[in-house]
Formats: sequence, structure tokens, C-alpha cells
Amino acid sequence: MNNRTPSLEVLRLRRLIAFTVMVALILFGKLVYFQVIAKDSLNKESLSHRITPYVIPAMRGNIVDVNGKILATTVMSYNVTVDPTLVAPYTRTRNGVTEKFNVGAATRKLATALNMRVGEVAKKLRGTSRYSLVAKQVDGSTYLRISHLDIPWVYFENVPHRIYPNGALAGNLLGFVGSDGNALEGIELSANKCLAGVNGMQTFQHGEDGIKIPGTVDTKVEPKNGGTLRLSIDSDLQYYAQQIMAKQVKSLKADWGTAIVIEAKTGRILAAAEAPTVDPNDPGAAPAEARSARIFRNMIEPGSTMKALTAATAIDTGLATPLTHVVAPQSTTVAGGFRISDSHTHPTEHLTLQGVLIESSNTGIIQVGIKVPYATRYDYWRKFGLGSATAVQYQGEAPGVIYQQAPDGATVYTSMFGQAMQVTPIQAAMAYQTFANDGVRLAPQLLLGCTAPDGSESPAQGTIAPTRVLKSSTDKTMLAMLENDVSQTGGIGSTARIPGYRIGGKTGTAQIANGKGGYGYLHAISFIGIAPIENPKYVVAITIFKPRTTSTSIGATPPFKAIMQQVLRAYRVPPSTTKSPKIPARW
Amino acid sequence: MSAAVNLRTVAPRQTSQSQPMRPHLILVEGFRAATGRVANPRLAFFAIVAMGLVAIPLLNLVLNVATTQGVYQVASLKNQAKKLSLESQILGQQVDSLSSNQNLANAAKAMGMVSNANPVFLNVANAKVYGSPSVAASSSTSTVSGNLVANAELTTHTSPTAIKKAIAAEAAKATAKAVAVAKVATLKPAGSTKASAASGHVGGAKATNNSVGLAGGGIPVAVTH
Repeated sequence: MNNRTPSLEVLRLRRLIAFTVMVALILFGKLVYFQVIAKDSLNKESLSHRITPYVIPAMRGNIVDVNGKILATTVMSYNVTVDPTLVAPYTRTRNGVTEKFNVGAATRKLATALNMRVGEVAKKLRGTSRYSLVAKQVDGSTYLRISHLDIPWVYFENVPHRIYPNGALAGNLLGFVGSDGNALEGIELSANKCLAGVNGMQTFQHGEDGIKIPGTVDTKVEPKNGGTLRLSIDSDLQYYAQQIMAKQVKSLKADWGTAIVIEAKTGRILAAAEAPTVDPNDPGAAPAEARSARIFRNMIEPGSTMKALTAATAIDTGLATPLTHVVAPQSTTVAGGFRISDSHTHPTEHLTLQGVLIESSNTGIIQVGIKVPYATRYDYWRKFGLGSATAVQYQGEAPGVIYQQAPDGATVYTSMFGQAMQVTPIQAAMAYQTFANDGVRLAPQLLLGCTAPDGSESPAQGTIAPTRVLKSSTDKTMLAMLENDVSQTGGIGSTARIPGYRIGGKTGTAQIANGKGGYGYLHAISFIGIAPIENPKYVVAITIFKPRTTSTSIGATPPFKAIMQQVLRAYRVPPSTTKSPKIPARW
Repeated sequence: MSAAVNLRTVAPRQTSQSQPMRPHLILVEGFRAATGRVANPRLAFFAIVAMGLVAIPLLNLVLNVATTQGVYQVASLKNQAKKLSLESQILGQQVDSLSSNQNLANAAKAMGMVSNANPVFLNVANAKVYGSPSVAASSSTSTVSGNLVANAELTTHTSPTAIKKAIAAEAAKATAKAVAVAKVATLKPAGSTKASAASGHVGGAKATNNSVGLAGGGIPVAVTH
């Protein structure tokens, strides 16, 4: 017995030692596991709780008008979100008084701040998901109202939001961005390189309260904001032109209308108005065809405004003068058996080339135009800028259609009065800019430049070297003829007169192809004018598509007159002091 | 002699005995001379180390507390900066909305203003009048009554009623002032600083939530001021 007792103790001791060693081994194993094997993954997990990468959104650049007025800008908006699993009553201490808020009261306050129905908000607070979007892109004032409520389970996400403070003003040109902030249309899209910024990123270790832990590494990549794009548009003039066009398109029950104002000596587009058009703040409200710039995209047969180009070509090549005689019947048959008629009924008239322009006679212009070979006329069209997109290179700009080889015998004639060819409204306006600039065509200027946030300037659009289209002498003759078109009574051009100023211009009434090889009964009416003739400064081009209360350009001269008057007044052009020379229209 | 010898013999022995200790003594003497204190050098060393060991964590703690305070201050200032920039954004939007062509056109119309489609020019040199003078008509082809250009961002409007009231208030104030300072030859213009503050308040107080009145000098003032 005496021998067994110590051996039991020894045994117990051994067991205890073994147990201790085993526990030590387990602990050691665990230690090795934590410190060596699982070290990296555990560190990572721990860091992920303390480190959150924050995206610092870059602000898209502004689009401003010629005077620096903001047409498009980016502000911060806020998505209001909730973690439904955390929705619970809470307490807040203010001025030493602790107040308890229940979920119902908080929901009502939130709904009032958001201007939403209580039920609608309550629905978004329920569920087991960790994220619920209560309201999308609320503005700064709403954000302040909600953050003042200080509800612990309401969070905000910063979302840059594009706004256009002047609404549909130049909306046709500006285009718009999607809800994700990506450019979808217009200048927003074509000048995206200038406007778009690059998001920044910030990473730091933070505690429970989101405050940075001192001494930890803070990595920050600063965002690069977009540049400021300056347009040639004068927003006051643009607004005026849009108002006038909206009114005229409505009263004529037309499909659409455009008005372009060009500064003759620089090629700057001061206004490019359209109706109906789009408010880029709410592009969905506008019909699809009104969401872009018809001025650059829509090709139409220009009609009689092209007669001035035909006359200029004949005079420039020495094959006609303003006094060239023609006998213009109501209707005539040309080589190949094609019948050419005038739009209005009249007896056979003895007209000069000047008279042909005043009366806008188709049968008259073909007798002058046919003297010039078709190939020569084609060359002149190219020099006038027809058949190719402008230097603006607007998103989706149409090049127009002119035929190097006349596809049929009729085209040789009809192209003299603007049929069997297609031009965009900007091409037609720039052709007349040539008349207003001593026969030299310039590149239209719409995007004047891009200023990066560091102040560096870069060009925002392409350009072309000025093109000499007409001899200076021919151009002077053309200005006089265009002036007589307005100053002499008889033609529709006379309705474009502006008291005190010498005005020149040409009407156009074009038929519209019906897509079946013929023409429909509706027209595209236009008037392109220049002022003041003694020292041309501005070109205003009006196009109205499918007016239903008139079929002549009598519907296009009133908006021309109103807009040109506004231009002359706004740009302080003194009234003309010289008289208009009269060119005989008949013989 | 022997004593002298003895002395001589002792003296060198003593010298030889104390010789191994000498280098230590010399070193200590040197140290002592440099510090000017009499102390155990090891103790001093340990004291310095111990003090350092206590002081460094203490200093660290103080610095940490200060930095932490700073971090909270930075966070609060950042928050303040954010709020201010937000306020500036909200006010900027209001200004943009107020200066939009649509708001100006609507306000002008509400106040009975009509654009004259027939501008008349007078040439001073030859005393000639260009254009045909006529009364501006609201139904002319070249004037458009009311705004036809959509604007979904037009959230803040000028309140013509408030402006009219403000103008009346200013006029009344100016008249009162004119009477009061009748003896003073120069009269302050209606848009003086005092008048503007008062009229801005009147305009803002009477205006609806999203419309603004007029401050002196014709500058609209947002109701949030």
C-alpha cells in the first residue's frame, strides 16, 4: 500500500504535466495559426473593417456662353439611403435634454423633408437587406433638411448631378448626359474630352465613428475636374431667337423651325435656335426628333435660296451680269422633256437677272444657270461649303448631298433652284456668310475653346483656312442684288425690310420629297438675310419645315426681321446712312 | 640610514601596491573634474534610463492625445467646409435660377414690361430719326408674351409682387428721408445701404418659399438670407 500511494501521485503529476503540455501545445498551435498561417487573411479582414476606399467624384466642367454665362454645370446631389436592419427607435441629446424618437415619427419627418408620402418611405425602411434607396439625387437644400433630422440609420451618397440653369436655352446644341453622368448627346458628347473629369480616391484607417486613426497611412489621389467649354453662343440672343421661333412654328403649325445668327467677319455662331427643342434637364419630356440639333443634322432641299449661288457662279465666271435679259414664262420644257414651272402663277415676264431673284423665277434662273457647265457649278458648290460637314464637326453632323455627276437630265436644271440637292441649315447660312465677307467663306465657330482647371487653353473644334469663293467685285454685285431683292417692291423679300437699315436677302420655298420619287404638298420655307449691306456684319438664316398655314416664304421673313432687328439693336449697329442703289428688274 | 632605507624600501612598495588602482582613480578623477559632482556613475546612468523609460511613454501619450484631439478638430472643420460649400452651391443655384432668361422674361412680363419691336434711332449728326416710332404692343410678331422656352431647373422665381412692395417701401422711405433731410442739398439715392437692407427684408418676408424679393439697387435677394 505504502508503495502505491507515491506512484499514484507521480501518475497524477505526470497526467497534470501531460495535460499542461497539451494545453500549452494547443495554445501554441493556435498562436502559430494566428501569427503565421492565418496572419495575412486576418490582417486583411481587420483592415477591411477599418479601411474604406472613398471615391472622390470629379466634377464635370461647365459649358458657358460667349460672355461666360453658365449654360451647363455640375452640382452635388445626394442619394438618401437606409440600412433597414438598423431601423429602430433612437435617442438624441440636444441642449442637455435627451429625447427619444420612435420609427414612426422619424419616418414622418423623413417623408416631409423628402416631400414623399409617409407610406412610400415606410415601405423602403422595411426588409432584411442592408441597403435601401429611399430617394435618388435630392438637391442640397433637401440634404440639409434631412441631415438636420440626425437620424442614425439614414445615410447619403454623393452623386454629381448635371444641371442646365437656363433650361432649353441652346438645349438643341448642348445635348445632355444620362443619369449616370455620362454624355449622351450634342456638345456634351462631342466635347466630352474637354468636359469629363477623372475621379479621385482616398483610403485611410478609421475608427467606429469614421474618424481617421492618427498615425495611419492616408493615401489620396486628387480628382481631376473637367475643363470649361466656351461657346460662341450669346445666350440673350439665343433666348430671343428661340422665343420667336417657338411662336412662329406654333402659329404656322409647322413641324419645326431653325434660326441661325452668324457674325459675318468671324464665322462665329451667335445663335442657333430651334423649335421645338429639348430641355436638357429633362430630355425625356421632348420628342425624340427634338433632342438634337437639326441645324447640323437635318438635310433638306434648300430651294430658292440657292438661286443666289447660281447667279453668283454665272457672274463670277463672266457669263452673266445683274442686267442679263431673260424671258420667263410661267412654265417651260427643257432638254430631255422635263417640265419646269414657277411656284406662283404669272404671265410671261421680261426680267433681268436681278428681276429673276426678286420674282424668284425658276424658269428665269435656268436660262442664266445653263450658261455655266454643271462641273463648274459643282466646283462652286464645294467652295461655298456644300456637300461636306463643317469644321464644327457637331455630333452626327450631316454632310449634305450634292452630285458631282448629275444623276439625270432634270438635276442639271432643278439644282439651279435648290432641288435635287440637300443642305443642312448651317451650310446654307455659311454660304451666305461668304456673300457677307467679301466672297471669302470662313469656318463656322461654335466651340471657342476649352480651359482646363489649371488655366491652360486648348482649341475645342477644328478649323479650315478661309476659302475665297467669289471675286471681290462679284461679291459687291451680289450684295447689291440681294439688297434689291428686299428693297424693291414686288417680291416676298420686301417683307424683310427693317426701317433704318440696308438689308439684303433671299427667300426660299422648297418642295419636300415624299420618299416616292415625287414631292409632297408641304414645303420648307426659308429666308437668309444680311445686314447692314454697306458693311455686312451679320447673317440671319431662317428655315421652317412644313408650315401648314402658308406655303410661301412669307412665313419666314417675320422671324428674320424680328431676330435681325434684335441683333442690330443688341450689337449697337448704327442705322445705315447710305442709299440703296437700284438695279432694274425688268426690260 | 636604515630608517631612511626602510622608508625608501617601504615607499616604493607602497607605490607598487597602489599602482594597479591608479588607472581607475585617474579616470574617475577626470570624470569627477568634468561633472563637478561626486556620485556613483552607474547610478546616474540607471537614473537617466529609468527617467527616459517613464518620460518617453508619457510624452507619447500626451502627443497621441493631442493628435487625436486634432483629428477630431480636422474632421469637424472638414464637415464645416463641406456644409459651407453646400450652402454656396445652393445659393449659386438660386442665383442661376434667378438670372435665367426664363425667370427674367416672366418677371418682366408680370411687371407689365413689353419689348418694343420697333427700335427708333436718332442720328445726332443730322438730327434724323430712323425707324417708325410706335408704342410697344404686346401682340406684335416680334414680341413674345410670356416664356416659351422650357426650364425644369427654374426652381427659384423672382416675385414681382414682392418687388413692387419693396419699391413702394423704398419710395416711402426715400420720401420720408427727403422730408427729414430737406435742408440737406444732396439726397441719398433710393438704393442706399440702409434702405436696401430694410427693403430686402420686406421683400423676402412677404415672398413665397421659392420666390425672392428685391434688395435695394434692384438685386434680388433669396429668402434664405
